[in-house]
Amino acid sequence: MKPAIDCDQIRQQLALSVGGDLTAVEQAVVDQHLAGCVSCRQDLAGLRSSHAVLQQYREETMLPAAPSLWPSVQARLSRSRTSVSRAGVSEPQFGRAGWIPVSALAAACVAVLVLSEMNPSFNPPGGGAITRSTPGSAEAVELGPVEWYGGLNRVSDGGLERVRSMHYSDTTTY
Amino acid sequence: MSVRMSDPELQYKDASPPGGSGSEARLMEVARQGDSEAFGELVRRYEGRLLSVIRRFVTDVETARDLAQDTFLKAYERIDQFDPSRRFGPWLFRIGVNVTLDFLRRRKRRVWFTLFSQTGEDRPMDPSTPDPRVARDLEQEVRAVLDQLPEKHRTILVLRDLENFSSSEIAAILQRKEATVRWRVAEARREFQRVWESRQAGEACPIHEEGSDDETSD
Ligand SMILES: [Zn+2]
Repeated sequence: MKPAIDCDQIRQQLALSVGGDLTAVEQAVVDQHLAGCVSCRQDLAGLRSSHAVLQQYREETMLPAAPSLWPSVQARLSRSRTSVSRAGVSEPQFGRAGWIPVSALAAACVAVLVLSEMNPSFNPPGGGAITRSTPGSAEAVELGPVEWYGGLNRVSDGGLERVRSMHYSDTTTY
Repeated sequence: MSVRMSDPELQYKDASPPGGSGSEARLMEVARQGDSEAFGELVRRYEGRLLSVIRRFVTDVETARDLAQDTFLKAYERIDQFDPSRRFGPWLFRIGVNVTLDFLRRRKRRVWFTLFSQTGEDRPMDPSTPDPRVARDLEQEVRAVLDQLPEKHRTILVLRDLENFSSSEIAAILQRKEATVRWRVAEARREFQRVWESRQAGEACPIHEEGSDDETSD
């Protein structure tokens, strides 16, 4: 007998089910469907195995306890208070992160576009982020991927400017 | 949604450490009036959890610690914008996720700059091509898959599957509807599965275009 609910409807539920994200009622509907559907059972097995990988990764990469950040935060707080009271506004600092000249970015965009033209299978690391910018235009500065969180860091208080003025001591190598 | 209540980690993993949101609103109020020690109490309560979240995006511990510091400083700067009727945790994690993603975006730009301005010694290995010569361990493999995912999927997997925030907590952090978050969780797990499986099969897997998700905006 064919299951009462369409497999497509169950597919999204299966992805939630592997992480325990379904209500008891939703899970019961899924279980009922699974009992009569081999292809959804196979689908679930695949999802379970990749989800198990993620869980194993999570357990293997738990962060050990570390000294409190508070002394450093406190020191930076009092430093910024001093600099604010002295200069009225704190001096923007740029770490190694710095800012790349727009011309260089535009050149990079052109190069990517050329590569994409030449080889359709060329995928820049980070996906399609770069394809949204127009070479040579002001947009080229915003190479970041689409912001799903619309305005998360573009809040009305000039948050972006403050982020820019923060000093990141970047110790990462790659 | 149902969570596995038997999981002892959920105690620690809850977005609100012991003390309650009421006392946190009070601490924020005292801090706002200039008592930085009150803010220090909040830092001590949340730093472990915040650092854990940031570390899922940024593997280098020292960088993660710097970003966590930046998050607390930013929270302190914005102390007047905190709504005491809401919970402190999601507000803080929202700032933390933002600071971290912003850092990663700038770093990505820098990598591209390096890529096109140098002869290639520093070139990062193309993550979409598994290196068959080296048997890489699970940690590196998962890391590589996560790095390949679009930011929206990586963020949701970090918060839900690696940090165990509930859908409603994630909704509060990302300021999205819970239904949207659940949809994203399903989508992100599918995407992880797809990339993971093609890597295991030794295929270079195409990265899905970012930017086709505008329809989910509230
Ligand atoms: Zn089915």
